Amino acid sequence: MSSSLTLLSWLGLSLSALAPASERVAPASLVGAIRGARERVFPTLVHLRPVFQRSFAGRTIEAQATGSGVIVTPDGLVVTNFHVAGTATRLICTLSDRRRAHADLVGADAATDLAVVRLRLGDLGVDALPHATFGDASTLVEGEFVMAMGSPLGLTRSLSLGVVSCRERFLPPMTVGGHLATGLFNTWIQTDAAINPGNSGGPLVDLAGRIVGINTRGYRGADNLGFSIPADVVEEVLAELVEHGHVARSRIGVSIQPLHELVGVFTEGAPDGVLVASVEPGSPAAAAGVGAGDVLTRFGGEPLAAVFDEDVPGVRRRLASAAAGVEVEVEVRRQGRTRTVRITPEPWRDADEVDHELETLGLTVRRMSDAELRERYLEERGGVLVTGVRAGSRAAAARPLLRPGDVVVETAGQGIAEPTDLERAIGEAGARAVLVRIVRGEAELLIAVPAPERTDTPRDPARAAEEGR
Amino acid sequence: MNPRRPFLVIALALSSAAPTAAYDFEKDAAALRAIHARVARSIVSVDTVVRERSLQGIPVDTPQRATGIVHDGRGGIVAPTSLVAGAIGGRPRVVSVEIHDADGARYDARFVGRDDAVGFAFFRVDDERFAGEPLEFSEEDSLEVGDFFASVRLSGPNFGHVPYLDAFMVSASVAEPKRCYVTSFAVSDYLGAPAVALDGRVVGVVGSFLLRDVPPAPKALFASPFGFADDGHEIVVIPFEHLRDVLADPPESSDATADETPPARPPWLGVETQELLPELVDVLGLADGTTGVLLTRILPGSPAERAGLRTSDAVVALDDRPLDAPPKQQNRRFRDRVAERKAGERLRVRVLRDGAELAVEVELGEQPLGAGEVDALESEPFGLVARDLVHADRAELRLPEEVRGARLTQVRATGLGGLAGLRAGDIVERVDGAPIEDAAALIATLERAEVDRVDELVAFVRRGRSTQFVHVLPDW
Repeated sequence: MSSSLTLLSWLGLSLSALAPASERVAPASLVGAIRGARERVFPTLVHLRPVFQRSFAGRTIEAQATGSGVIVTPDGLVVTNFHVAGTATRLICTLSDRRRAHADLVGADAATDLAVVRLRLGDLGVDALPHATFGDASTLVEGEFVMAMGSPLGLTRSLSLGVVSCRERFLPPMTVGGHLATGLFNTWIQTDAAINPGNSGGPLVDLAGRIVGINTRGYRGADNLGFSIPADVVEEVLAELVEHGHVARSRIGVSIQPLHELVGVFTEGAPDGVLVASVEPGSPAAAAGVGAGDVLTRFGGEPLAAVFDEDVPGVRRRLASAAAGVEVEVEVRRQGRTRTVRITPEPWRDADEVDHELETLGLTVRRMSDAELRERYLEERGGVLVTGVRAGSRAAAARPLLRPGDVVVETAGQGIAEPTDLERAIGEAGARAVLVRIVRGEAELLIAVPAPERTDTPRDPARAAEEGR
Repeated sequence: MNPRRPFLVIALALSSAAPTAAYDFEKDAAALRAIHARVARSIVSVDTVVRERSLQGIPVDTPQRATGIVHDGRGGIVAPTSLVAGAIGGRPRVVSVEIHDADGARYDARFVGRDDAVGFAFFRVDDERFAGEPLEFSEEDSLEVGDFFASVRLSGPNFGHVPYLDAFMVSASVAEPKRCYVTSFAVSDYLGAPAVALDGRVVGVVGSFLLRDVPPAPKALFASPFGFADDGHEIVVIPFEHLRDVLADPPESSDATADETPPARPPWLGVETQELLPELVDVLGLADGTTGVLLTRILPGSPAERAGLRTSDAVVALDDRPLDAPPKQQNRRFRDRVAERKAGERLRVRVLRDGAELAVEVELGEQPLGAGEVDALESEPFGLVARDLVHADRAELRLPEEVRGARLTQVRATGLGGLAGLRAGDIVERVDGAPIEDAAALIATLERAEVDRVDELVAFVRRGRSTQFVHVLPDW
């Protein structure tokens, strides 16, 4: 009791110190507003403990995570982070009234680090659940009060209060799950409301009790630096995930750069358009004659603009939202002259979220993203990335040694573009030794994978122990 | 200067002292004075600056000094090759040569050639005022152990290039591997100076000779000039016998600006390989016991590519000699075999491809220049060092032939370039829309920008597989 009083009095002080002319919430109503928001959102909080698979040392293992989520529809759709539930194979959720229910993964999107799961209402014996609604993140102002709700470190039904520290923070692209590019398509709401591991996937709530963001990231080693995905991005992705289970994106093969101080160099006066920094050879944009230094001013009829870094994720989202295979009109300005070109975007290729284990071989592999393939100059050829080699397996007996990071491009004479290709080729080779062609760095090596041993080898004891648990 | 001087005086006194007759100091002193006076007109002090490139391509300048001997009437000077050697093991280039005579007069000179068999370099002064007198060597060049010989060098600039005289005793007469005289006196200051017997014969030159076999050391980053590292070289008196031929016909490059004649480039096939392990022989269906290498990479534009060699070809013989090295030595054997040949020669490569054996003739090329072998140029205000693109860059980044630019080898974080976001490894392709052909063009552009005090520059750079624009804001 005394501690909450301390907190409140501290709040009153800071409010009067901040108090702008257009004060949104008077100190007298703050406590009430917090209580109101709590009452609206707390019943919609979900604590998730998903079981997921990941690969380790050439085999698939199971692991458990803990995170937060928020119910957004009466029929039990829960929004959370990809890194909480995106690869879940089993989902057990605890609601705020401590009832437990199973849930099923509806869809996930690593690129925005979002996932949607559906609670099994049958487990709860209800037809509908309380749900939270989305607010407008674009009208947030720095200094405005927000609350982070969720289960920090598994401590369920926690609420922390802070302010919006920055409404539109640009963070460079990061990875989630070790290798999946994320953060490409959104800026972040930065808040000093305490966000700890376990808060992930929980809502950032304004004083009106609306979801303005999904709490996703903190900064290791920093205090009071939390980052939430803005509600508008969440709503867009949610709709896609519910409808398709994934977010279909496309690419035209350009990288863009904000105009910044280059406005005067690449445009005449008006800071409109986005600067093309790079065009991938052979890409749809290259085919349409777009080059580095061009300024894209319209895409599918809508104007584009990126002056600062913060503008870039939105433009990327806009470009990626075009349907693959459908021609789109793009207005391009080059040296003051504007022309319209037609570009047919190609599908955006994501990496596999989870590695495939080729158990008979003793190998874990995965599909690579466009960016990963390009990094290795394999965009034309494709290939499958080796992520792990199980000790004592056939793959471990390969000579020269097969290593994580190698890209399998051919097996037993067959081109390998997908993990399933590899699986099939190995299967067809049967009891014979197999020649595998890999790309390692700039070299292309041949590797002999020995024939499977005739006798049934006893199962790896470590593995048996793991499965027995 | 010479720590042994007091001892020398005693030694001189003892050498011909007889208990009954007074030693004739005046006689030897007169001989030494005569040598001093005569030789001083025939020696010069040679100062060079030798430029090498570090592994990062940064130019490193090393000053060198030694004594030179005037050997003809046209300004020809012979001096130790240490004057044209670098200090860090890069490919040295002589960027300046100046000489001083005993009057302290300074002349520009040029490096015209070297003879590594005797360890001497040749320089020439093209200045009519230069009045150095050729030194006459004596055909009778023998000395006996215990004999003294005199030598004259010029002091450094602090003393105004005055001639220094000293005398040394022959400690040993060496016959193998080459005849020469060793003195245990400290003679290294006299490197390049003539050795003159007290009877006036000019018997040879103080030089550096390889006298001992030492096991080959791993290639050191800091290769030493003569004598200081244990590379088997000793500073000795090299008798005229070994110099006669080379002085009669000194190496002289026709190119007036030429420094060191570049050594022939190593041969280049342009492939990378992996061992043809027994496991692979088996799964490839090759005959048991086949040895050799598999080609893992054919470098773009290489002789191997032109000859049609392909990735995964199994190379089993070169010039009809099988590659029959033991396991783990096949790659090396292959490399050594190629290295035995010369650029321009034809190499017959026998390969197994798709079950068939075929012979491919490859005309070996010259090893392309490496990153450390091309000039690196620096822009101080922009805080960057750039070099020309080399073949390895094109191979690494798979750059098409038409891509031109300058590769940044160093970017100082606090320089104008670093502050703008340029990074080491970037290739600057354009500045303000104008194509950058090479490092010199980039540096010239940046220097012009400094002269013109431009307020902004837009560099178009390639970084890895993508490109971007970098906005540089100078604050002159």
